Amino acid sequence: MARPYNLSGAASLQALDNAPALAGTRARSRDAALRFEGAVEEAAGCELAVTGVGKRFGSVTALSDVSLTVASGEFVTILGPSGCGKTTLLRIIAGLEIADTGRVALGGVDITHVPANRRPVNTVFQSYALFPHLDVFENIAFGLRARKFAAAEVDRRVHAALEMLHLDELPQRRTFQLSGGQKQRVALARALVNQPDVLLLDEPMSALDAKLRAEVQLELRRLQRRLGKTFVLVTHDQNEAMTVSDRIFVMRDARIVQSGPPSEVYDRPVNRFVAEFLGTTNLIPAWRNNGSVHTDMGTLAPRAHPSWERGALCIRPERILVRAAKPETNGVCAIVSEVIYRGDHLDVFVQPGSLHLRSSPSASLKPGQKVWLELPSRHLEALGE
Amino acid sequence: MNRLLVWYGELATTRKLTARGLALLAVPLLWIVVLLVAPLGAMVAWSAATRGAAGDIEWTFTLDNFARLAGFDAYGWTRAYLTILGSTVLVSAVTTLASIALAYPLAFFIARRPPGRRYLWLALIIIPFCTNLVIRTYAWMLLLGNQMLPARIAQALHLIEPSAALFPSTFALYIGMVSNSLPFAVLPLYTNVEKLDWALVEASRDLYAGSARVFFHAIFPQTMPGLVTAVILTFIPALGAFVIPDLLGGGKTWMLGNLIQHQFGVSRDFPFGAAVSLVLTFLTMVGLLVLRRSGDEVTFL
Amino acid sequence: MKRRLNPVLSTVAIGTLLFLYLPLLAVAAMSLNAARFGGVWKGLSFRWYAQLAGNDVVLAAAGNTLLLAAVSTAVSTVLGTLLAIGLDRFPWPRWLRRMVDAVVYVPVVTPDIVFAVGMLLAFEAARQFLGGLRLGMGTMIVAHVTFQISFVALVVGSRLATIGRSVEEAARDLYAGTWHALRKVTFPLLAPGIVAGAMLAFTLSLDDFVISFFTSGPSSVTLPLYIYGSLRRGITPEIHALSTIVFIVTVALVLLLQLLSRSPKED
Repeated sequence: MARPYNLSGAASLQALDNAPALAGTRARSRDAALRFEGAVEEAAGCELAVTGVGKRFGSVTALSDVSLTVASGEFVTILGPSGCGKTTLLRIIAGLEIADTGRVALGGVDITHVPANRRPVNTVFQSYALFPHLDVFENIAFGLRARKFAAAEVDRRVHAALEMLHLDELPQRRTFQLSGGQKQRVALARALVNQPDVLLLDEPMSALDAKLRAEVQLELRRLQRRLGKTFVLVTHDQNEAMTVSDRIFVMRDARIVQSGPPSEVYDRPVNRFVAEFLGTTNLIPAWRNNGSVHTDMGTLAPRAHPSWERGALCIRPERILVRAAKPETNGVCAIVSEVIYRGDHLDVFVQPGSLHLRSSPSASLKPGQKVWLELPSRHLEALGE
Repeated sequence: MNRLLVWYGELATTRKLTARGLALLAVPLLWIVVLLVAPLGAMVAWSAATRGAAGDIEWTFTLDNFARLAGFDAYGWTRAYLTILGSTVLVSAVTTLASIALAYPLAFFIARRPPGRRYLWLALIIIPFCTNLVIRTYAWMLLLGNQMLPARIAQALHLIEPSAALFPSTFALYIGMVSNSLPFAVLPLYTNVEKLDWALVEASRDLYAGSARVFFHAIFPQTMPGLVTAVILTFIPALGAFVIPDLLGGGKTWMLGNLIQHQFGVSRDFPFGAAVSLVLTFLTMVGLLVLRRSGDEVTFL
Repeated sequence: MKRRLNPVLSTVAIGTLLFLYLPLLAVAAMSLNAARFGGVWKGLSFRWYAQLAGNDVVLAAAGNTLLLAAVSTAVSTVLGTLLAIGLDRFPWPRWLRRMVDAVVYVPVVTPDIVFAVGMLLAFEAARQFLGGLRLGMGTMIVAHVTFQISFVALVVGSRLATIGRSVEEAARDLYAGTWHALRKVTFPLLAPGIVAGAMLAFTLSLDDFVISFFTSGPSSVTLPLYIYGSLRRGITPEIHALSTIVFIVTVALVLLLQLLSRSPKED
């Protein structure tokens, strides 16, 4: 089964390999994962295709002509601010809402009007929605029992899931006795034990504290890799999106604004919104004159020549370079206005343009100092209004 | 308009869901409507009839009963019934005030208890109320009897005649009414007090406000919703009381409830009784509307 | 933040609590008093309780009370639950929902006596025009059920609201059909609410005096009615014993209700 996703974003992969494994459990859980995978039907080539989906709630448009495709085995994130329609989209894929217009297809089969309980898609809810009257084992077994699996088979699969998600000690626990992290793992196990073609996750980290979040993001990524299943995650947290995804879909106001691997969305934002949503950026107002682009700081050459008359150039703080002397192209002369020590880097603010850049902590920059900056073309994006 | 929708995870049409819903609602809703409309209709119908001389009912349409209530009968105008109306409202109002005055300290007291114990205290308040009204009332009759301690103390202090009991009297009436209303006053207030923003109170204390001002400016406004509910749950039922005025008030202070009870018991004057009941119903609705306006929502426990 | 409460307020609060309990404790104490009249303590004795056991009228009244409570609770729990589910679990337009909610609230806010008189007049009118209807156990049951339905619906309705949507959607997401979801998820989660509603209805019925007073007939005397009747004739120590028993039973029921509604299944 070929994996068509882009392996750029090496930084996050590095983080994955360097992350400390949970002591002693790595080998065991890998075995469990293999047993788990091999135990069931082969997932058919199950590409998820959403075409032209629209949804309105009364006078509010939640989704407007949204289309996306997720290849089999991809980990995809739908990223956007609250109210942009991302949860609605997820629910439509799950079958918990029905679209007004458009089509949802899985592996080529039209599932737009298939009820939720007959879609090979499972969801991890934001509040986890664990069944409070059942213990951990029964929670996980729920889907299997609903599909009338034999008791012995249910037993085998649930135990494999428990092991894979490090829940071995807990099968008899009641849900209110679990910690936040444990609840999330039960929710995951409950969904994954059914071997869905697509796993949907609705802001699964929002109930966890920050430190746990970082660990869980990596675990989730590792899990998806091992299982090779299609994961679709919805979040407003761009760090999360960058950590786990093969591809990101950025949504705003009921539409998808940009899609692509994390590196593309980060380094080559298509408009101001995407640029500002995914981390800090510098926006420089610019206008076109004949063949060149002018700014208050002089003429700058962006990566691609813009088609607009007036717009903005954007460049990430960490891409701006400090030079000893005037660079050949895209040089800006500036005065340092503020330097803030951040431990692993310096945040430096310069005028004109209120530019924000990052430099190594050992650089000797002082407020009032005159510096030459280079804004390399390949990192300088031209954005439309 | 038959839409396809997903409701609680189920894919269905609005038509199917409506049919299912109506099937569930039909019997209970029908029951309530019939058994609310019928009595109300009956009350109206009866109030317009007259009781004949031999005790039979003449189904004429007349407003005589209401006129009688307003004081106009064959002998001219009397204040009797209007006095009853007045004392009903007065007693209810005083009861409400007293209950609220006692409810605030109790609510604060419970709110200051450690969180795990609060349920216990709340249960303690509910329990007496869950006993029968008659039993509770007669328990007061016992306690206020001439041989018991409270009466003995009052006798010693020359507040009452020697060997007299503390009931039947207006005092006993109010004791009974207030003890009957207290739980309904405390619970809504408590739910408010529990969620009080103490930061506001601390702030006003810091500004050297005296206790009274702290209460009226920082605490009282925050408890308004609970207060409104407490007033509704105290005042409205008090309007219809008849057991307590009968047993503890000794028939000296008649309330509308006693009047009604009399018509269906001794007097057998159903039409007049129906008329008085209608007036009481009307009073209740007015009270509810007025009080609901000042508190946006009435939330029960 | 947790400063000590003004001691005056605390005293008033405790005093108020005592105020609520004193009379009932006095009755309980008197029921164990060997003396016939209050004021003098003549020693501990259970003779009044024994006398009660032999009193046929009281036992008949007790039987009536229990029968009334049992039957009316059974009927109202079923109807109230249907009402709550039908109201909450269907996409009614908001105006309709508000209207029905208001209608359901009416029995809860009406003063007992208005409700009782209304019932009585309706029954009497039916008797006059249709004939055959006599006041008795039947009419009392009908009257009780009418106000009980609202209370049951309120309790079950609030439980339904607590359960919320997510759990049911999760069940569907996990391949459950309508029946399976109902049986394995909705009903187990709703059961405590139904039981609580039933217990509330039962307690309300046992407790009721006013409505029974107006809608009862000569052969359907319940305990509260019996006590009221006896009071007019004069208080006897048997009444003390009877009241104490009723008090204890009610307290036990209420405690049970509290325990059930705070079961650890809640999250």
